[in-house]
Amino acid sequence: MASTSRPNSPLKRLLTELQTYQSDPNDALEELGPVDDNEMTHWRAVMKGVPGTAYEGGCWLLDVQIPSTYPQKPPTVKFVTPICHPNVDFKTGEICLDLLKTSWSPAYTITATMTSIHQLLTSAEPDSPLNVDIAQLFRQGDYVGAEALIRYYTETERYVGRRRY
Amino acid sequence: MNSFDVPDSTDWSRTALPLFEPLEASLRCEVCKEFYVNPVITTSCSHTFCSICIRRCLSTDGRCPACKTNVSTHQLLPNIAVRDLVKHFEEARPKALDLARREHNADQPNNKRKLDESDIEQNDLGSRTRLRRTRTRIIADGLQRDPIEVPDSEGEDDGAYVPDHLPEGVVRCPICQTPMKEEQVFSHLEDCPSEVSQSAGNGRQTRSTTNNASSRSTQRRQNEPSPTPTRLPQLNYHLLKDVALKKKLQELGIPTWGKSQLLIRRHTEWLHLWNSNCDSENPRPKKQLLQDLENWERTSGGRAASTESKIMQKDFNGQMHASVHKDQFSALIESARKKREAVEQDQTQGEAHSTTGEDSAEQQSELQSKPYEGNNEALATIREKVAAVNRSGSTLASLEAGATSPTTLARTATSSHLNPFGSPSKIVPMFEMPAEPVVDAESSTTFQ
Repeated sequence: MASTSRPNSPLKRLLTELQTYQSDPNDALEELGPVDDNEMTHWRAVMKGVPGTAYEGGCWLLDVQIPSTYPQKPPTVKFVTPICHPNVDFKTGEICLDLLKTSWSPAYTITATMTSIHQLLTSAEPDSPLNVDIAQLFRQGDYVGAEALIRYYTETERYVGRRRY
Repeated sequence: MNSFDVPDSTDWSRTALPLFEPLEASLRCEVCKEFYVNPVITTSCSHTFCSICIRRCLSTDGRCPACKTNVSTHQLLPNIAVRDLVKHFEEARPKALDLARREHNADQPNNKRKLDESDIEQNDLGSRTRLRRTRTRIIADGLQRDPIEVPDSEGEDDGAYVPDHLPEGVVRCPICQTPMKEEQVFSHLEDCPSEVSQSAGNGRQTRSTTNNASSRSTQRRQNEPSPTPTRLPQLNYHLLKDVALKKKLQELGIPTWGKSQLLIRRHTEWLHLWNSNCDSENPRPKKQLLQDLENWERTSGGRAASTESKIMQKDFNGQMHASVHKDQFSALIESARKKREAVEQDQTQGEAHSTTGEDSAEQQSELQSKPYEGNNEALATIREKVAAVNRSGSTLASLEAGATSPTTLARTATSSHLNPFGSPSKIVPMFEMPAEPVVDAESSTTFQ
């Protein structure tokens, strides 16, 4: 056993992660897995909103690109379904989260990353905004307006690809 | 279960032994999620990883993946206890998992019937059935702590150990286990037939394995008289010129082709492979390490598909390429000319179309630089957008009138107007219906 070689490719680890997810699903997600069975480095996730917040009842599709150097380098995660959030670009879906950039650690998994993004929904950082409009509302203390706007988009921009409620 | 089967700690969750899940999880590396291979402990923060995993992490990041403490490679020490734990757990795993699953399946369907039966059993039947029942229950949920009577049935197994009680003055040969008089041992050791050691009645499992291992290791040492490998030092690549670096690689016996960047990466990978091999119980021969390096070369090194493919090679024969693909080139030129004519026509139409200041200027400048040359679809979407902007004034007004809190919405509207992007697509998504903004976002990013 001590003499087995360890492949450098992320595929084995992704397979393990997928298996772990299937037997132990993530509460924040509706689904998670590769887009296509032949392409293990491109995943999709469907995230659920946080009950009791303005994102309640929401449903977003996310695109996960996994680099060949994973897990040394973080995956690239984007919102495909538009989301109104100070740290997410409304048009491109780019997410501003330190975990996805500087403070990535190889010990994280795709599921753990998704959990962090889910937590970002409730703990926004309006001081490093990608969506200036909503961040401005937060900074000026207009929480009623911000919540109304978020609720509006959570309602209208809903991912309804596979399942409708 | 699943279409693919990767061993994983969650295998235990739906068996009779769910508590084995955290046990197995703690025997797996945080980085690769596999069982530890040559585990090493970081002496600065006491986390354990596979040797190769932590070395790769440290050369990209320099910090512990679990706690982000700064760690350097000389702070890694082999974690022998974990190595043995993993080794023995892996040996025991298949059978234990199989048993746990079978136990679970046996319990599951006729759970109720068993319970009913047991009520009667406890009163009526003898101790034998009760014993069996308690045992299954204990296995089924590790939390239950009934007093267990250990059945003393395995008497036959104990018999195997009986030969240890040898008559006084008689001992076993430490290698082949043959009983003999104490004085004879040393002369016997001289020509002990250790290779054919196992006598049939020999029952001591532990002794025979150590016996095997030692004979194997002596064999190995005889086959390849290489000294135990020593760890290679890290190089400061900034201080080395290409030639010196190549020489270093040559000394190590690894390929020296490629640019300096590739040489550095190859050397780093070789250090990972080599040094993690030094943490191993039975270090592998260099030939196998070179094989691993070759694999690395194919997956992420110089022969990986993505790198260097975008740059034209030095010895690329341009004329040859041109003559081979001449037909395709001329066809492309032809179609480009046709499209260009179409674009020029469209442009005149587009200019007539544009009415408002900023947006039309943007459109015009884009058209003049001709980024959409020959792309009728792109032009069509642009024209749609312009039309949408022309209409957007009325959309805004109607929405503001219908909104419950006009002040907040009005503010958003203005702030979105002030957006540095200033493009129509930025305004439209705020108040138009779904799907539209996504299309806009994509098309605008693609064509800018």
